[in-house]
Amino acid sequence: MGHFTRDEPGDLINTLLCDELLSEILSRLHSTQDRKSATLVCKRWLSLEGRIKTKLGLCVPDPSTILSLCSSIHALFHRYSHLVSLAVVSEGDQHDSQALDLILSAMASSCPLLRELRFLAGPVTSSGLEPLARACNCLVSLELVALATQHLPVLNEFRSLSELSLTGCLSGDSSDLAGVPDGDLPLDKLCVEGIGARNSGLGWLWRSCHKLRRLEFFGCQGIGDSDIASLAWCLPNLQELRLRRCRCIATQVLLMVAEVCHGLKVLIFMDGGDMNGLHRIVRSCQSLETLELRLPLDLFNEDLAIIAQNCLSLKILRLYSCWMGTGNGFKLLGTQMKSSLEELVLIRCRAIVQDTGTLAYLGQDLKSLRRLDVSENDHLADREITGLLHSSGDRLIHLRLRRCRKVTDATLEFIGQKCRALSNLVITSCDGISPAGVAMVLAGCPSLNKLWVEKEKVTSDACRLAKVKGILLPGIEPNPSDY
Amino acid sequence: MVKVTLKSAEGDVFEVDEELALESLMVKNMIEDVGLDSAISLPNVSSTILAKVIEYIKFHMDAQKDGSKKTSEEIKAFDDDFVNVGIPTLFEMVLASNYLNVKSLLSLTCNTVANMIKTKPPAEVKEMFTSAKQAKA
Repeated sequence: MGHFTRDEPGDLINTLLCDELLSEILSRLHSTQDRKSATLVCKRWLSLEGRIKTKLGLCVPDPSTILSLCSSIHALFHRYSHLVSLAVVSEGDQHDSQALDLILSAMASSCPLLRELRFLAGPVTSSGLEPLARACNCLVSLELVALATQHLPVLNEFRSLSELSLTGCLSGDSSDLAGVPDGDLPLDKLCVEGIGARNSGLGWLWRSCHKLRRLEFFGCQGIGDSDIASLAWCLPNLQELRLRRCRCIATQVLLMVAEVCHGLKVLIFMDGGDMNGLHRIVRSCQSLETLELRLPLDLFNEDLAIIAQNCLSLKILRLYSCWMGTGNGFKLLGTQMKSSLEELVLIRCRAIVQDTGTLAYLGQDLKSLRRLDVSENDHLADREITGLLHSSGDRLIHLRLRRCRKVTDATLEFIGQKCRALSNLVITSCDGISPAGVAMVLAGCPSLNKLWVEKEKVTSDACRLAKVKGILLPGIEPNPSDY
Repeated sequence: MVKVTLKSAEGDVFEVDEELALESLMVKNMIEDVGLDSAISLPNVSSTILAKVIEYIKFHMDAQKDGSKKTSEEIKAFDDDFVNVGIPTLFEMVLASNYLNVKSLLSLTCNTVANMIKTKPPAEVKEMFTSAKQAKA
């Protein structure tokens, strides 16, 4: 091609290739070590490597030292000017909002493409958030820690924001925003974590999210407002509610949702709460499609009966650590959800282990069941699983038996004969199975696509068979897309 | 089968099937703009490189056709052999596949260069590309 001559400076790669092509090559270095090493080749490679980087995690040593590092912070973000996703955490527990705001401003002036920001280094204020909102107008996801409620209205400036997470104890009270008009935040998803019983001042937020579809409370002892009724403002369009470790407020929130919102599709309720709220919501939100519960000592047969009688469009039911329900409770579930239920998860479920025949009964009734997870039932016997597979084995697409220690090759042989549609199978940590059982599954299931099992249990013959049949063995065989 | 005439930097003429020529998005756009009547001139691609690019496209088109018995191992073996060339030629193929806009070839050649850089210390990377230049010069 002869574009270069003998006396041109530099090496061949730098002389011939434009920035775009060199970036294309450098972006194919996947290991951190290779990337690092490439930045040391020359200044041009250093700057191109910075532009390729779209995700960055930044650990601030001690926020109080930032003011003295001002120019290097600017240089840092200038180098990574194409960042799309950024997480900032802090090592120290000194929270200097002025310094943290400075990081936000530096980020705002250099990284206009930012879409996701998790800023967990400490509390920031509106003077840092304002420039960010102006410059990064494609920011869709934002996570902030310990925000003082007086700065909430600046969220109005983020016009593309669809997901917001507020973690850590919020400070401030309702008087901070007295007289401030309610906002109109375009939020689709809101997560709040760690609200204390006495926190207040979040009322503005509840009144300003009219489009909310997904709401999550985690480890909250209050809703951040003295009047629970203000929560009702953000509930009309709600489709998904998650409550985890919120014993104090769970019932109140569930009752409120049951009253205001009738289109709820997903309810995830874990670790704490009495059953009143659950009963009400199950009765009023008849369109519920996904229900996930982990309430080990709270969920009894009566509760299962109420779910069975009301959740007639339920497609996904996931129950974790269900100790109190018995075989009869589950049989009723099966009878009522005959045609709708597609996914059933019974992780650590006493009834299916101890009340013989429970799974077999469910298998006969649930005509639409496609995905089953009975992981972590240590003492689940072969006959219980094969009892279910006998009637619904040919329909199952996903089956997970992780850490079912009593399961033996007899189950695997049955799977190999019966499960014609099975695509994904998990049999990790099943001490009772041997390589012979694994080979039977690989030879038998015609639709198998992925099999999760320990390396020791796959013989070299079985490995070859998997390759021929195009079955992936995650964690054992390297993924073909890695090449 | 309609033929397309491609003209290299040296003025050599290559006559190829239209189907094959359309694999280059750049040539495809040219055909849409100026039609098939005149030869398409590619002043940035030398004859040697153009011949290689045509060989590459042809192999992969045949491999994708119904009834092709080529296994994925055979295709990989072809690709490995195809990029087993000197560094200057490899860079010319990077440039040509970018200019002609043949995505799969660009990806193959860029991956090859990246693999050469992988696991080498910076000084060795520099050395590799500098000595390549001296060899060429």
